[in-house]
Amino acid sequence: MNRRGGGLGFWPALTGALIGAAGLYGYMQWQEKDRLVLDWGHAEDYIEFLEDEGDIDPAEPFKAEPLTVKASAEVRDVPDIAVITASMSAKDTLESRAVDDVATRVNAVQAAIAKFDVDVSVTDAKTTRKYDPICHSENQEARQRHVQINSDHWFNKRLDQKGDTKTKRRDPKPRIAQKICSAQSIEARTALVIRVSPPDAAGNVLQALADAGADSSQLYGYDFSNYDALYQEAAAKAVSKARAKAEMIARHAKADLGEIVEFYVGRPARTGRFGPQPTIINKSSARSNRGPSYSVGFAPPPPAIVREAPSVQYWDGSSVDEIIVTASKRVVSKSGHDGDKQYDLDDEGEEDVVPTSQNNALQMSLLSGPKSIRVSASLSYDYKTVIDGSVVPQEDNYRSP
Amino acid sequence: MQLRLLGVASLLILAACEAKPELNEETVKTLAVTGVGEVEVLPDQFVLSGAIIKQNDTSQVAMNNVADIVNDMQSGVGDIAALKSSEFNFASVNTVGVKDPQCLLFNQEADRTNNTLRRGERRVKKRVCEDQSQQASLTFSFTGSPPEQAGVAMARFSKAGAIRLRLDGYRIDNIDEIELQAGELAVKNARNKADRLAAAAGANITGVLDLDSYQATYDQRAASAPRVNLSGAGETSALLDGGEPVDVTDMNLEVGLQIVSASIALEFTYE
Repeated sequence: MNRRGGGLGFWPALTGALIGAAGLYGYMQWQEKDRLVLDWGHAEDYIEFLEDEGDIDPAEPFKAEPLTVKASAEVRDVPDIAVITASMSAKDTLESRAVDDVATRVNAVQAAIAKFDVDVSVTDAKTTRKYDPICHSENQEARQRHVQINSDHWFNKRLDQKGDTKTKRRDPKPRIAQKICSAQSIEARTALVIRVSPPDAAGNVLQALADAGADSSQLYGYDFSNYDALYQEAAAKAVSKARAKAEMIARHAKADLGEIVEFYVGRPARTGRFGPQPTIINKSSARSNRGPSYSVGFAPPPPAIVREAPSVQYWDGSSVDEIIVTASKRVVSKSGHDGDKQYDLDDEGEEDVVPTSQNNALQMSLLSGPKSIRVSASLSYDYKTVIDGSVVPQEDNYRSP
Repeated sequence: MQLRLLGVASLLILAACEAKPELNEETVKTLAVTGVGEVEVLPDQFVLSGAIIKQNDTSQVAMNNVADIVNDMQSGVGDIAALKSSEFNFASVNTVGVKDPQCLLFNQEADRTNNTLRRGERRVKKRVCEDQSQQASLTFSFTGSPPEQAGVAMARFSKAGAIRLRLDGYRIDNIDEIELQAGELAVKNARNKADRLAAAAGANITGVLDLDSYQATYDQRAASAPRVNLSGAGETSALLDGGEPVDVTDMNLEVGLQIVSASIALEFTYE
């Protein structure tokens, strides 16, 4: 009784001791496993082993992240060209009368601005038929209604075929009859682009255009004849400023600048002539128009010749839009790297597709003072530190010995 | 132990650094610049296009009317003393029966109704649409020089009775060569910019990558004749016979110097 009740028994004590010893052994084993014992000959093998096991990332020698500096610079100069657009149009039921009306005013307009130092080009000259817009919109509504009726018809039919009596059928909508939309008039239109130098004369030219009978005229913007030289100057300044900034930071941090690892300079906003310009008939057209082509009968015209046709108006007033084939119509960034913003083209609200230069970077107000060309630059430099090349142990991927 | 490990790792890294890294897309350092080139040139020719459409009871008369206008056009431009060259290209010549547009529309509506017939609706009987008249049409493009005579030619065509006239644009005889010159200037410009910017940053340009981003940046397109509707009711008859054409004032359409431009975005390697 005494043995039982007096203190710890032998077997329980032994069991406890064994469990304790096992625990201690396990702990020591764990400690042993966690210890890293390396000598010069085994380090490489060990790192390779860990890499193979996917246990850790390889320990990289220290290398500072590159120093990135940004700077921008602008060059201000007075534009030497003002770009003005003007258009004249006339409507009549007889095409030749409309053309005559426009011709008279085009001649008057050009005579009126001849006293200025201007370079005039024609960007558009054509005649088009004009249709009743209300008739068009009513026909559009009629076509949409037909699509709805068609959709309802097939929806209800499917339900009937499935024997679905629970789903409510769509109610019939009233039909809308289409109309014949005939051409109401012919419009003759001519558009000009006028480059004025010096740009201060732009106001007088605009006045002369209005007095001579231009229907609309607009100061499209200003241009530099030496745009690229100004861009280069601004870009070089921006790069120099960025470099100076990097050198200053390195000097104060007592680091040695290394080589440039990333080099970005904002691109020029202007890659073609600013403003609208006449279209150049390209080479493919030269091939398609070479030699007379004469087909009689009902055969469709050769596609090589008529593929890029102005709109065709069908008997019910519907039309196919004109397709421009190879005009280099593009959107360019207004300010190079400035957020990589893309700007829509200013098509002056014209319904006609006239390929125009897409560079509106210099589109500005009537005030013809100095204008700026701003360019940004971003440079990333390597630099040296005293611990370059050292392996820096990190918590997550390396367990220090 | 830490020191020993650091030593081992440093030796390993130093050994690795001794070997020059292989240049690839990830390691090569580039500077991208956009070069621009412009060549000023006066166009050599202008290109006009237009159509002649006539409707009559018989296709023979309609075609004769078209032929009259073609003859008037040719004699009209023949009278332009300043015109040095002229060339007509007829893109299409057609005759087609013209049906009553109201009849065609009725049949179209009938099809729609019959295809979606609803309770209480009766099938609509379609009509037979007979030819009302015959339409003859011709589309053309005209190339002439010098380019400042475009307005005069346009006026003469309009006076003769041609419609849907359009100044398609101008042609430069040696456009391939001019565009090549603009391209050359763009490449040189890109290289100059790269050298200048690299020098400003304290680097040197060592070579060039990616030469395939060249593009012409002037407005260009193919000349095209108008398209004439040859089905159903043909062209709507309204305005086709609005009366005899009137005398049209010769139009002065000036042609300034045109810019043929090109740009190229080049990536240069530097060190």
